[in-house]
Amino acid sequence: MEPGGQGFAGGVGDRDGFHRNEAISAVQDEEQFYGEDDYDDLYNDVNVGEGLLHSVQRGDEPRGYPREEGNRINPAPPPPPPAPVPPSGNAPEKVQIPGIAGEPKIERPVDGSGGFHEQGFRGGGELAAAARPPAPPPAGSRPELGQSSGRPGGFQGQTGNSGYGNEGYRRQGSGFGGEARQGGGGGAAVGGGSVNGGGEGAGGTTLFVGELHWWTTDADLEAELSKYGQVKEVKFFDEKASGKSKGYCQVDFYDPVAAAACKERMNGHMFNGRPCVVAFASPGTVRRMGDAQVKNQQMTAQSSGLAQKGRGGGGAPSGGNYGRGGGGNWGRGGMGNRGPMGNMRNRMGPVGGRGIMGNGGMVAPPPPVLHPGAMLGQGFDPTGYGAAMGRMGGAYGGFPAGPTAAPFPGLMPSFPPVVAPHVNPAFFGRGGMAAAGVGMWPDPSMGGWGGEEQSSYGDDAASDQQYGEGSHGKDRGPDRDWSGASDRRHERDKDMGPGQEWSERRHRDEREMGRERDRDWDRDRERERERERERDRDRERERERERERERDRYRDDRDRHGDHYRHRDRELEHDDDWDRGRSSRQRSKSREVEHSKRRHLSSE
Amino acid sequence: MGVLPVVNTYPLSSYTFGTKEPKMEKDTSVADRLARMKVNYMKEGMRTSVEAILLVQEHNHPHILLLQIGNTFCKLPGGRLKPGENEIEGLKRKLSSKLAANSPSHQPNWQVGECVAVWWRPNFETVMYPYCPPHITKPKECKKLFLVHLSEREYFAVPKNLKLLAVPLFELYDNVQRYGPVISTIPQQLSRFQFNMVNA
Repeated sequence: MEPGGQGFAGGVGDRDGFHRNEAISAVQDEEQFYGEDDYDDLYNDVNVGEGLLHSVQRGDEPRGYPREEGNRINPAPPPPPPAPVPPSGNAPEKVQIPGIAGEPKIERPVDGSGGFHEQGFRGGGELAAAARPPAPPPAGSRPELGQSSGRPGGFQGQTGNSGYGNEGYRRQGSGFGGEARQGGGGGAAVGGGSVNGGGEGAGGTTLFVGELHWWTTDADLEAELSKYGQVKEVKFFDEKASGKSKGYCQVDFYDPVAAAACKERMNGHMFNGRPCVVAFASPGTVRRMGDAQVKNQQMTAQSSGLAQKGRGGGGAPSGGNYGRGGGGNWGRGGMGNRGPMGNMRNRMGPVGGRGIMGNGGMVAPPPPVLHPGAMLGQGFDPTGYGAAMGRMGGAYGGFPAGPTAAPFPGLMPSFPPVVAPHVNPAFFGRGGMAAAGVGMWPDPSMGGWGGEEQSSYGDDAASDQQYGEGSHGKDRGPDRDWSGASDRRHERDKDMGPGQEWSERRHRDEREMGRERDRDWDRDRERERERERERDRDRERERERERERERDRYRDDRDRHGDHYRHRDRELEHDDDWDRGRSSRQRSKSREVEHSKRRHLSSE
Repeated sequence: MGVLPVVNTYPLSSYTFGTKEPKMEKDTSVADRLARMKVNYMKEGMRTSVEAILLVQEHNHPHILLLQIGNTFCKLPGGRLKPGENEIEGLKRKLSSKLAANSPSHQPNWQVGECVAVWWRPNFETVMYPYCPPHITKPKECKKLFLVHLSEREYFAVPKNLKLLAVPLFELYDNVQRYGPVISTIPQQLSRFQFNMVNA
């Protein structure tokens, strides 16, 4: 092979020799693969069987692997010869994957590295994916590892294909005595692409069973599995958010012979009218194979519409998040949001209020878990707020016993209360400190607010009040456009995100009442408030810092005890949980987004 | 039709709270807990646990009594049933164990009402769902939440290592992050009741 040649294909001028590592990345990969030595690079991190690497890397001949891209296990016609066969002239041996259990032919290194274990190969991992190396004639064909590695995912689902079945493997050309060995070893692990041979050589007992319906039960599976031997465990993979099965599972037998038999004979078995896929795997690869399966399913099911929806959802994720998650948290978070976030109307408003209450109620104010993204989303519209605030402030002052009911004096320690962004903190009187300005948000735990009230949940600070306080918006000056406020309010209402609507409306109504009355009166006070706001902002900052500290403490406590309700959005201690949660976390977010969107629409 | 079942709730002040010896958790970590769950499952099969929703009212809004462990984690009073134990009896046993004073003369007469929610644990993990996922035929735990009617006066003794909080429903609503899916959805389960807020 001419690594040199390849290497330099795009090489930079300063090479004076073949410096593999200097190759341009695009080319570089190929180089690696085509290089005579150094399959190590490929397999370094793979837990392969004993002789693999050695057998694989025989300097002489790079092998090509036909890649069965997209070859799916399910009754698929033999995959087309791998496109990227390097032009080295050796005929990539195609891997034929006849039907499901195709037996790809693999090429073995000429020198008969015998020790070539399939698994090992698979260890290559990527390769496992679909491609089975074509037997490279000793001529030094290039293995198409490069390509396959490029696409590990491609194969995954197809384990069936794996037809690699050990039996299937046969190296062409190059005599290798390995064949016998292969046969022997084969039984063990080839499971479709399971990449990792780990332990397979000795007889793998772990299988990946996929392409199941979500309603195919563990009992169905066990009934069928027990025909092949004693089953140690069947572990289904499900979506964390809903508990629904992902359609694949990991099966552990006690006896590797049973596992092999099962893999051979149960592959393609109909469960509820759908042929399953069975392949050898190791615990780590099961997940990967499953992910590939899921991805393939999604791709086929997906339409552009779906994609769009996803995108649209993306737009309102923060809203969505707000809607859900722990209102408490974000109520605070919203507050915490520094600065107006562009035009996101605050969806959180009502929630914020609630959150605050919660905080107050909580004996131990929980750390605001809102993550920055969410908070940012909040951004309330300063101008809107400002105006509203102005008015509200007045209103508030006007009647302390107003809708919000709680007399201010009682509240204070945390002023401005963190309230929904759309609520103007100024509303809460105290001379407008509410504004707290941008970034002043008192700690979502709402500092004072919550802190003071630890003992009494039933605190009178009416939620309205809380709402109002949070919003502070940026402290807009007196030049705010008051008249526009009410219009904006209506807009805001429309924008309301999920979950906010009901409370938002309630508050809005109440606020309106107050506002009407005090509109004029407020304007005067607005200016006064501005000044006070400055002062308060500083106070808030202090409080915020304290709260941060407290929050960290609480977070630790919660982590220790919080397993019971560890919500999927939180970090999970269990590895499994974490892994499972990982893929479904995305899902839960998108669910939230959709949920919020749905609610949003319905409200309109 | 359209008649909502009535639940009487009394103000928090009508109850007396004392303390008693600490009641420590049996497990020190999530992993321990799940491991113990697995062992028990092998021995006894699916675990059934029962929990009680005890309501009081403040400011005309129902509040639920939660036990707080440490500083943040809240749980409902209740626990695991012994194999073959009746649910109602088991719940009374757990309530007395957690909240009743030790002296025999002060045993509250727990009025266990209806079951308002059932949650399922499909695997040995922390996550539970309000249904058993369709592909699971052998859930590992079933948790039932019962509404428990308190009488006007009660004396509760709270273990020293726990705090008993009265949390308003609006604080729980939509607050999964803080309370988890089971507790944060209690307001929805209770929405069908009509609360008779009795004032002191």
